[in-house]
Amino acid sequence: MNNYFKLAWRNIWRNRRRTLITIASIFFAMFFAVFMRSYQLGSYTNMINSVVVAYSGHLQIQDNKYFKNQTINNSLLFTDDLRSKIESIEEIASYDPRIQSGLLASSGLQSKIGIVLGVEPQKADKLTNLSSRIITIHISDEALEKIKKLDIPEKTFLKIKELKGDYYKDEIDLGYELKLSKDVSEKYLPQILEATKFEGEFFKKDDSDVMVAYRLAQYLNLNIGDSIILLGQGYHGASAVGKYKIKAFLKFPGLDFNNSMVYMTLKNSQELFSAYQIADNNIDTTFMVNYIALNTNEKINISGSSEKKIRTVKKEIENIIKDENISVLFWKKTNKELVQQIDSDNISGQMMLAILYIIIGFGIFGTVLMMVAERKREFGVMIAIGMKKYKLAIVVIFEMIFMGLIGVITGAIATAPWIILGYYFPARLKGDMAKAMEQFNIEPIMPMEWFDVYIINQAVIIFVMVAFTMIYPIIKILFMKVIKALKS
Amino acid sequence: MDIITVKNLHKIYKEAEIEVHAVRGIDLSFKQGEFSAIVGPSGSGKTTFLNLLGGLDTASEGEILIDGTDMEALRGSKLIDFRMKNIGFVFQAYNLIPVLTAKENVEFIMHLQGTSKAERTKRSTELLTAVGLGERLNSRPGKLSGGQQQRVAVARALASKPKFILADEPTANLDSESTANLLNIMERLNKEENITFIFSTHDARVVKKARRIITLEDGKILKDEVK
Ligand SMILES: Nc1ncnc2c1ncn2[C@@H]1O[C@H](COP(=O)(O)OP(=O)(O)O)[C@@H](O)[C@H]1O
Ligand SMILES: [Mg+2]
Repeated sequence: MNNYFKLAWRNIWRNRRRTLITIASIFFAMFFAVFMRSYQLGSYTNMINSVVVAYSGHLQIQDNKYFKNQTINNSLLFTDDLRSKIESIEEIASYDPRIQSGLLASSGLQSKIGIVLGVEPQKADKLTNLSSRIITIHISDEALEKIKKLDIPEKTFLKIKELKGDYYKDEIDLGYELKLSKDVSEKYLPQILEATKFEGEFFKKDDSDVMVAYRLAQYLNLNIGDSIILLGQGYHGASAVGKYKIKAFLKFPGLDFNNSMVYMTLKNSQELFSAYQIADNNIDTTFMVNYIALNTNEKINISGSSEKKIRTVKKEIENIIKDENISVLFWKKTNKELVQQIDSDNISGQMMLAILYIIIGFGIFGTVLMMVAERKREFGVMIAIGMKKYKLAIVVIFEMIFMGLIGVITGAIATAPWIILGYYFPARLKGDMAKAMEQFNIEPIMPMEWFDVYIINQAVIIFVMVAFTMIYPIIKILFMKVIKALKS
Repeated sequence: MDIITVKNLHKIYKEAEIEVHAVRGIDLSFKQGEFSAIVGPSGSGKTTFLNLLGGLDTASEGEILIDGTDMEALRGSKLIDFRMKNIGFVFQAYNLIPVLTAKENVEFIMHLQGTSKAERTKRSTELLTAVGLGERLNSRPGKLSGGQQQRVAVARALASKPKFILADEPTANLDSESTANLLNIMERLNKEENITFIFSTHDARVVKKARRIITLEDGKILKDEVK
C-alpha cells in the first residue's frame, strides 16, 4: 500500500501544471460551492431565526382543532398539570403560552385592525427576546429642537432631521439608518441619544398595561401613558372590550407586526377574551391559551441535524402530555409559507450549484484525459513487466484522491474566513430587497451559515464528481492492450 | 534443457480488412544460458516474435511453451503474473518509471512480488553495481544518460530472477560506446550468472557478440546458426 501511495504522490507532482489545474478546479468548485451554500443556508437560518425562533417557536402545543380554525373558541385548557409537564422536560429551553386574536384597536375617532398577543412577560422575553423590541429612541420635534441647540455639525443635524418622526429600538438600530462616521459618533452620539430618549418599559408579571407596535400607535395617534381601546369577540361569543394604558412601543423587523401588534399579559388577555372555565364548585378557574410556543435547546437550521433532534423532543412531549385532543406541531407545519419559500429558493440554488459542478467536472475530466493520453505507454510498460491492472488502477485512484483532498481541504480552508466574517458581520440589505424581507418579518441581513454538515456534503459531492472522472482512466487501464500501449 | 519451445507460430494482424502475416510458421527452441540474437530487416517480424515470446501479444496459430507452460492457456492477471515471475523485459526506449529512482525502478517488481525490504535493498544494490551504476542508485531516470537508463532497465529486468530476458533492439537508441558497454555487461551476466538473453537487433556490432544468430525474413526463419 505504501508503495502505491509513494508512486501516486510522486506521479501527481510530475506534471505540476496539469496537477495544479486539476487541484485548482477542485479548489474552485469547493470554494464556490461552500461559499454559495453558506450564503444561501445562512439566509434561511436568518429567516428561521426571525420568524421561528423569535416568534412561532420550534414547536407549538395546540388543541387539535386550533390549527385548522384559529379562533379563541378552539383554545386549550392550560392546566397546572400541563404546565408542570412542560416544565419537567429538560430539552425545552423556553415556552410561551399565548392568547392570539384579532380585534379592533381604537383611540378617539381612529380605529384599525390589531392583533392582541397575550403572553407571560418573562416567558415571552425568554423565547422571543421581546424586551429588546422596546423603542428607546424617538426623533421627535422636541428632540430635534434640542439637538439643534447642541454644538453639532450642520451636516450631521440634517442627517438626523431626515429621520424626523422615526422610532428606533436602540443605538444600533439607529446606527443602521444614520451611519455616522466614527469621530462624529464618538463625539456627539451620547448627546444625540440623550436628546432623543424615549421612555418605554417592559411590562411586569401582572401588569395591566400593554405594549403596542409603534406604527399602530402612530396611526392611532397614541403616546406612552395614553389609553388604547380594544374591541372584539371573546370565548363562545362573549364580548371582549377593554381599555389599556400604553407602557411601551415595540418595533419588529416586519411591517405586519409593526402595524398591528398589541402585547398584554396572558392574564389580561384571558380576562379580555373570557378565556377561562370555571369549575362546578364555582371557585376553581382554569385559564385557556390558544397555543404554547416553545423552543428546544437545539439551534435550528435547514442544513444541520436540528430537525431530527427537534422531532425527537416533539415525540417526547407527546408521550408526556398523552392527550388525544392536544397536538404538538413542528415549526415547518406552523410556518408553511416560510418553508415553501425556502424550499423553492433552495432548489434554484442547488440547480446553480449543479451547473457549476458539471462545468468544473468537465474541466477535471479534461485534465484526466490529458493525463491518460500522456501516460499510456508508461501504463503499458508497468503492465508488461508484471504490474496487475487493478494495482495500476489503484495508483491512479490514489492520485485522484490526493488531488481531490488537496483541492477540497484548501477550498474549505479558504472559505473559513468568509464564513466567519459573514457570520459575525452579516451584510445588511437596503431598498426593495430589505422591504420584501421585512414584509415577512425577516431581519434584512444576509449572514453566512456557520460551519455545519453542508460543508461535508459539498466535499462528498465533489468526491463523487472526482470519482466519476476516475471511471475513464480505470476503464482505460483495465481494458488496456499492452502491445498498443507500448507502441504509443 | 529447453526453456522455450515454439511450434508452428503464426501471427496475423488484421487492420481495416487488411491482413498482415507478420510471423509465418516459426519452429524454434531456446536453452537455458543462451545469448541469442534475432536479426533481419525492418519489418521481418522480430518485434512481433519477441512480443509473442513475452506473452505481450497472442499468437494466431501455434504454441509457445515456457518451461512446459502453454502461454496460450494464460489470460488476464494470470498472464501478467507469469510475466512478472518468468520474463524480464528490456525495451528499446528504456521505459523506466520516471518518478522512481534507479534503485526504486529495480525494486519495483520485487515490490510486486512481495520481496522483503532487506532483500530488495540488497539485490537492487547488487544489480545496479553489476551494471556499473553503484554510484547512481538514487538518481531518477531523467538525470541519467540513455546508456545508463538502459543499464538500469537490464538491472530491473533481472530483479525478479526471470528465466530469460527479452530485449527488443536494446541498443538502437545508444551511441557506440554505450552499446559496447551494455553488451559487455549483458555478456558478463550471461557467462557468470548463466542468464539467458534473447535480443533482436540490426546492429552488426551487436550481432557479432551473439553466440546464436537467428535470421528472420518475412516472418520466417531464414537461418539459425550457432557459433
Ligand atoms: N499492430 C500491427 N498492426 C498491423 N501490422 C503490424 C502491427 N505490428 C507490426 N505490423 C506489421 O508486421 C510486420 C512485422 O513487423 P515487426 O514485427 O515490427 O518487424 P520488425 O520488428 O522486424 O521491424 C510489418 O509488416 C509490420 O508492418
Ligand atoms: Mg522491431
